[in-house]
Amino acid sequence: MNVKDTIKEMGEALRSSNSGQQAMFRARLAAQADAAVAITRPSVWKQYVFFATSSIAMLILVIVTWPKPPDVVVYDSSPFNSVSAQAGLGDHKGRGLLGRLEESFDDAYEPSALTVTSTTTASPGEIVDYENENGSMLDVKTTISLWSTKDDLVTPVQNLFEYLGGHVSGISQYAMDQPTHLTGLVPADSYFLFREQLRDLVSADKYMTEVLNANDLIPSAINIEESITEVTEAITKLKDDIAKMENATTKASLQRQLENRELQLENLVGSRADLDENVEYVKVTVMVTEIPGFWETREAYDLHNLVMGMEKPGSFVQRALVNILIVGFWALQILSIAIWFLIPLVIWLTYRRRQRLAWKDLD
Amino acid sequence: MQKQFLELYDEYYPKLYAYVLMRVRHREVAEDIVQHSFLKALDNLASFKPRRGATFGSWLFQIAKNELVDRIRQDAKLTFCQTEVLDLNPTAISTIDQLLNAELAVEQKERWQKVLCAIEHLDEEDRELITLKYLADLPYQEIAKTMNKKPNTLAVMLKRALEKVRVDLGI
Repeated sequence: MNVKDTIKEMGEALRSSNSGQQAMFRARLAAQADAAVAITRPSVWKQYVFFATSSIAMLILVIVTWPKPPDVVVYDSSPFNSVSAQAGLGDHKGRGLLGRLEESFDDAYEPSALTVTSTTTASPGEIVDYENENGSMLDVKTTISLWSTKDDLVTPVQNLFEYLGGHVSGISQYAMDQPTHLTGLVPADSYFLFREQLRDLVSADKYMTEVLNANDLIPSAINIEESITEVTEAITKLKDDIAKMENATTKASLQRQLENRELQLENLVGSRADLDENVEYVKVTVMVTEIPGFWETREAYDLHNLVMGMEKPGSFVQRALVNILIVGFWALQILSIAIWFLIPLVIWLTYRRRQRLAWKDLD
Repeated sequence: MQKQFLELYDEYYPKLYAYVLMRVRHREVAEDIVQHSFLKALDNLASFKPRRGATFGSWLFQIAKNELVDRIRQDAKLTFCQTEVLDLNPTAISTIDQLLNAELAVEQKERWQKVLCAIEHLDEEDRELITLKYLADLPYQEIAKTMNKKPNTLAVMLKRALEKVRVDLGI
């Protein structure tokens, strides 16, 4: 017996023993092969177009809905500083009559630190009307900016006005994403408390930054201040002239003028002191702004301001680090968005290449 | 292109069936494994790397072997064919006419049965080689890829395996 031939015979018999099943399965496989080829044919690009379009749509959606940084810059105090520089006289706090026009809540309120700018438009009639209504001709108008994640901070602020014996005279919002302005009066003796309560209100949520911008326009105060400035300059000039003058008669005449001017200055300062004492209400504008999601932490907001040059920039290394942080953050964002697009592309290209090679081999 | 795949199917189905049947000794299970192997090959055609020297046959047989191992794990009754184990396995087919599901001439049946038993007595590697070479009718090149050995080595191994069968048969 030839072993090899016998085994070969057996093999032949085995191989042909299942031809019925083979034929049946062939038909099924043919149908599946059609579907497989249709799906994996390299020229089929529709799936990828769908994938890529979805990714691009997602990208656009992310960009469109990306939270914008706040429009209002609260650190800008340059207009007030320029006014301060014009003030000639110091007040009893040594701060300058015009005072520091931008201050944080950490500073104590000082009623005498009046806030004056050179752009007043109020007429005497308006002042009288205001006095009749509110009992004082001195109106300290301040703007308080609040940044908060709280959905509705307007109602609590409004309640705070009323709770402290004042009232809100107007609420305005120019656009949906713009700050809401609440303008109202607070009794002067409650103003410190008002500020404290306001700070607590915001702190209870997520304290961001609060800036008190006192940009009051007080006609009476301005008139007094202008007069004081004028008289002070005149006194200085007279003193200089007297020192230079040798003629005794002229010198005596100038001396009298000086005395008159000093008396005038004394009266003016007295008037100003009276005004300070007569403060009954403080006119306050509270600006309530919701913090967009991106700026949820004060650190992020401060960091942004630092980079944008809105605050003192710090050392070069600090600025460099901050820039790296910001650039790195955005790079990460862009990269993560790009992955939506790149991953399907790479998968599809790899699959397509392999499939092409496989079919090539079968050919 | 599916036409080419079906041509490969026509060529490899009988070979694969013969191989798997010899391993599981169960016709329905063998059919099932072969069919699953082809479906898997079709689904994973993209992962087939012809540039690495593999042929479609060797790749298909590798899929079938994996399928076989999975099936044996799932079903403890199935076993690789060994005479001693077959005796303990009631579902396995041990006679050649049952294996072929055909009526054979008495003389032929006795002869084939003896050879089959002699093959059963070989060790695993020799039995695998004879199955692939003569029962599945694969070329050396594809057997080499399937068994991960060089063709020359296989030729020597096959010669020795046949010698063992002859000795077992007393020829």
